[in-house]
This record gives sequence, structure tokens and C-alpha cells, in this order.
Amino acid sequence: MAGNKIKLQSNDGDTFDVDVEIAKQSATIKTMLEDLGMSEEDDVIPLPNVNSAILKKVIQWATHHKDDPPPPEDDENREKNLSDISSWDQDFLKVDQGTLFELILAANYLDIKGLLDVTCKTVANMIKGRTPEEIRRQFNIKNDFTPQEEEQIKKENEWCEEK
Amino acid sequence: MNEYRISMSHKPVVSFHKLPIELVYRILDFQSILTLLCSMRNVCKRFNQIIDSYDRYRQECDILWLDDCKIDDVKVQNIAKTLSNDTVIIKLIIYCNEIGHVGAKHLADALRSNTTCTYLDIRNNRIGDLGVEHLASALKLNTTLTGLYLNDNNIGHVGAKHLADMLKNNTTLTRLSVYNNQIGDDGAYHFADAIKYNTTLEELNLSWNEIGRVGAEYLAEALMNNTTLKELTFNENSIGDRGIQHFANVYRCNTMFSSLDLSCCEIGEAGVQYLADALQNNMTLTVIHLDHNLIKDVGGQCLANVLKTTKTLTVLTLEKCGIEDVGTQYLATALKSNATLKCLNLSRNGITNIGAQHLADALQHNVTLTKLDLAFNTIGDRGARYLANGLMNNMAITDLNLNYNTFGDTGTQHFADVIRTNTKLTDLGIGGDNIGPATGQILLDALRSNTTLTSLDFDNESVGWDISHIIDEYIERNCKLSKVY
Repeated sequence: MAGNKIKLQSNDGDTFDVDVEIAKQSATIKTMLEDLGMSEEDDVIPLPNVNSAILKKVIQWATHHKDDPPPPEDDENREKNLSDISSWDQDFLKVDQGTLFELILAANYLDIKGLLDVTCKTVANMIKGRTPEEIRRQFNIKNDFTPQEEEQIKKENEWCEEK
Repeated sequence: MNEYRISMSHKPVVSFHKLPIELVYRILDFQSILTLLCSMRNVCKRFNQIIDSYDRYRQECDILWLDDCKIDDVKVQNIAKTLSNDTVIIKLIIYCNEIGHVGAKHLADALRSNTTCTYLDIRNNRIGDLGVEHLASALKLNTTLTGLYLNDNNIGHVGAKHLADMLKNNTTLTRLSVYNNQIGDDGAYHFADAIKYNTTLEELNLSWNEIGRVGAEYLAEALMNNTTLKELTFNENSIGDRGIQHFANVYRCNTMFSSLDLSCCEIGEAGVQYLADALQNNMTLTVIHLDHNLIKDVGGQCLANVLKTTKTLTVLTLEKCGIEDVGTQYLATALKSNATLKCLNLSRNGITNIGAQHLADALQHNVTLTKLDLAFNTIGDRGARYLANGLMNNMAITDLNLNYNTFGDTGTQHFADVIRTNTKLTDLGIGGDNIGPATGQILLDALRSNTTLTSLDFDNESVGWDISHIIDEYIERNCKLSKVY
């Protein structure tokens, strides 16, 4: 099995040769290979939701993590640990926000739990300790509360500043 | 060649607030509830909707614990905004934070419109009189909140006046605690005034508030005319014997109070006599705490008289009251015929072997007392033998604390027999003394046949690690057993 490759095709039409074992970190691809009996050498797996730049990043991540133990199942015990992002992943995710959210979408679509966790954690870290106004600025989110609601917030803020 | 298309409508989504809801949930999974409320709430409408439908928020926020989270006036603003139109939070617990009067104003504003939150605990912040003014003003209109905890908040008599004014108008609040502030006699005057009018408040805690004899008099007079207050906690106010005289009259007339805590109130022999006389025919009190008052043997005698007649008292605590063997003898004699008391604390008094002998004698007759605390007295080997023998013929005591007395190996060995035969005892404290490994081995041997003892304090250092380790294992086994069965 070692060394077997498959071809993954991005929505830009580029194809990437990837070790089967690396590609199988994606539960979506694994299912296709195993359940649908695709023969590895010939087939091209089209991934219409992922562009070349993102697919390249995903393959890079999966290659680095190919020997990781399988990630633990989700349990009911939420509020997971935020501080256990490896330094490699931290460097890997020093990207612009567009890329980060595209990676989240791709990890979700390809069903790569480890990548989804680490990208979501990265966003969570960007939120922690910020005020709503800072969050809006950071993620370029429009404040869509009604003028009355807005006025109320403003008043409260002014009141704060006076004191 | 097979070609598989995995279809999903492809739209380039590259920003946070357009992420599919299940992925936002996933990011929220990594957030603390505090971040959820202080950072994610009120960013935009969509996020608010997502948080509202987020399982963890619905499940974990009905009782929202945000204690010791370094919440300051800025962070509390967003929590307050959430609270103002929230329907999930029933209890908001934000003690030990850094909330000042500005933060209190935000919370007060939220309470004006909130109709779900019934419990607000902002102990150990620094809202001060100004913060109290805001909260009190909001509570004149709020008809939902039933419990408010303002302990340790630098509240003086001015804040007390605001709270009192509120109490005259509010008809919902049943529990109010201003423990450990500085309202003083003036503050007590305001509360007394409010109690005359308020017909809803059931529990009021004014402990540790620098209230003296004068304040006690105001409150006592007001209490004579109040029929709703069930519990007034008043310990750590130096009201003295003359102050207690006023209170004694209240206890004579009032039939609502079930609990009385006058610990550390500088009550002496004269004061306890007034109190005991007043309690002679009381039919409602179930709990009396008089710890740290120098009531001495006379106090023991007075309370013994109460014990003889009471039909309701279940808890009596007299820690560090200067009671010696004579007072203990009175109490022990009363215990022989008493059939209500479950818990008696006589720790840190002057009880020696003689007092222990009287108590041991009482244990042979009493069938109700389950918990007896005699720690930090001067009971020696002989006293330990009396008590151990007393326990052999007693089937009620589950918890006996004799830690830090003066008995050694001989005294401790008597308890080996108790451990071997008594099946009622679950907690035994015989630690703090010098016992050697041989005594440890005797306790260990006795434990082999005991399956009920789930807590044993002993001097594990001088016994040695080997033995104390095995004793701990037996205790652990018993803990598991008692949980299973």
C-alpha cells in the first residue's frame, strides 16, 4: 500500500498527487475510496468546493500530521482546551482571515477533524478577551442593531466615560 | 474512469459572520461561557440568534456561574446587556469580581427590564453605596428578583438607607444579605424602619456590620411588629449583654424565627440568661449558634434548661464559649432526657476528663444526638476511655470529633474497640496527638472488620506511612461500599 497515490482535483482544475494514507485523513475521501470501491491509480477525485490554494494548504497540513494518532471523538464535555495548539500549527495558521475561514470550510467539507479543531480553536483564540466592538473591527462585521438599540449602547458608554 | 461529484452549492464564504451555523457552534465549543457573554454577545444580530439557539448556552446558563472571572465594569456591561432581554438566566452568580458602581448601574438597568432572573449574587465586589443606590432604585420596580447577595461590597449606612427605601416598596425580594459591610447602628436604624413596613422579606443577613447595642435595639423593636421575617442572621456584631436583652424579648414573642445566629456578639453570662429565659417556652427555634461568646459554665447551665424543655431545637453550637466541666455536666444531664438535638458543638472549650465522663454517661441514654464535636479540649486518656465506652452503648452518634485533645496511645486504643463493634459511626476524629506505630496497627486491625467508617482523622505522621496508607485504603473501601449500598 505504501506509496500508492491518488489524484485530487481542485475547482480550478489543478490536480494534486497525494499519498493514499495522507488523503485518507479526510473522512470524506476515505469513504469514497472504501465504500465506493474506487480504484486508486486511475481515478481523479474532484473537489468542487476547494480551490487550489486551499487544497495545497490542506495537503500540506495532512502531510505534516500523517503519523498523528486519530483524534478523540467529540464528547459532551464541551469548552475544550484552547491552549494546546502545536507551534507548527500556529505557524501554519498565520494566514489572512479569508484563508483561515476557507480552511475551516474545507476541513468541514473534507471531514478532517484535526484540522477543523485547530482552525476553530485559532478563531476562538482571536475572540477570547475582546469586547464586541473589537470583535466587529477584527472580523469586519457590520453592527446591525437598530438605531434605538445603538443609541442605548452609546448612552451607556458615555455614562461610563463621564465617571 | 469513474467520476464522482460531491455536490454542495459553492459560494465563496470568507468571513466569520457568514460561516454556517454549525461551524460557528464549533468555534463556540472552544469558548468559555464568559467569552460567550462578554465577547460574542451583541456583536451582531446573527451571533445573538446563534448563541440563543446554542445548546450549551441554554443548558449551562440557567444558573450562570461567573465567580472569580476578573469581571470589571466594562465586561459586566455586556453581561448586563444580555441580561436585559434574556430569558435563559435564572440565577446570576458573579461574586469575587471587580465590579464597581458603574458595573452595578449596568446590572440595575438590566434588572429594570429582565423578568426571568430571580437570584443575583454579587458578593465580594466593590459596588459601594453608589452601586447599591442604582440597584435599589431598579428593585423598586423589579418584580422578579427574590434573592440578592451584597456581602463584602463596602456598603455603609447611606447604602443601607437606599436598600431600606427599596424594601418599603419592593414586594418580591425574600432573601437579602449584606453580610460583612459597614452599615453600623445608623444602617440598622434604616433596616429597622424598613422591616416595619415590608411584608415579603423572609431572610435578612446583617452579620459583621459594626452594629452595636443601639442598632440591636432599633432592630429588636421593629421585629416585634414584623410577622414575615423567618431568619435574621446577626453574628459578629458587638451588641453585648444589653443588646441581647432587646433581642431576647423578640424571641419571647416572635414565633417565626427558626434559626438564631448570635456568634461573636460579645454576649456574656448575663446576656445568655436573658436569652435562655426567653427561649424557655419557644416552640419554633431549631438552630442556635452562640459560638465565641464568653458565656462560661453559667451559659451552659442556662442552655441546659432550654434543652430540657425544647421540642424543636436540633442544632446547638457553643464553640469557644469558655464552658468547662461544670457547664458540660449541666448540658450532659439535659441531653439524657432531650429527644430533639441532633448536633452539639462544644469544641474549643475547657472540657477535661470529668466533663467527658458526664457526656459519655449521657451518650448511654440519649438516642437522638448524631453529631458531637469536642475538638480542642483537654480530654485525656481516661476521658477517651469513658467516651469510647459510652459509644459502645450508643446507636445514634454518626460523627464524633475528638481531634486535638490530650489523650495518647492508651486513649486512642479504646477507640479500636469502638471501630470493631460500632456500626453506626461514619466519621471519627481522634487525630492531633502523639500515637505510635503500635497504636496505628491496632486501629488498622480493628478497621479490617469495619465497613461503616468513612472518615477517620488520626495522627498519620507519627503512625508512619506504611500503616496510615493501609488505613486510608480501608476508609476508601468503606466510602465505596457506603455509596454502593
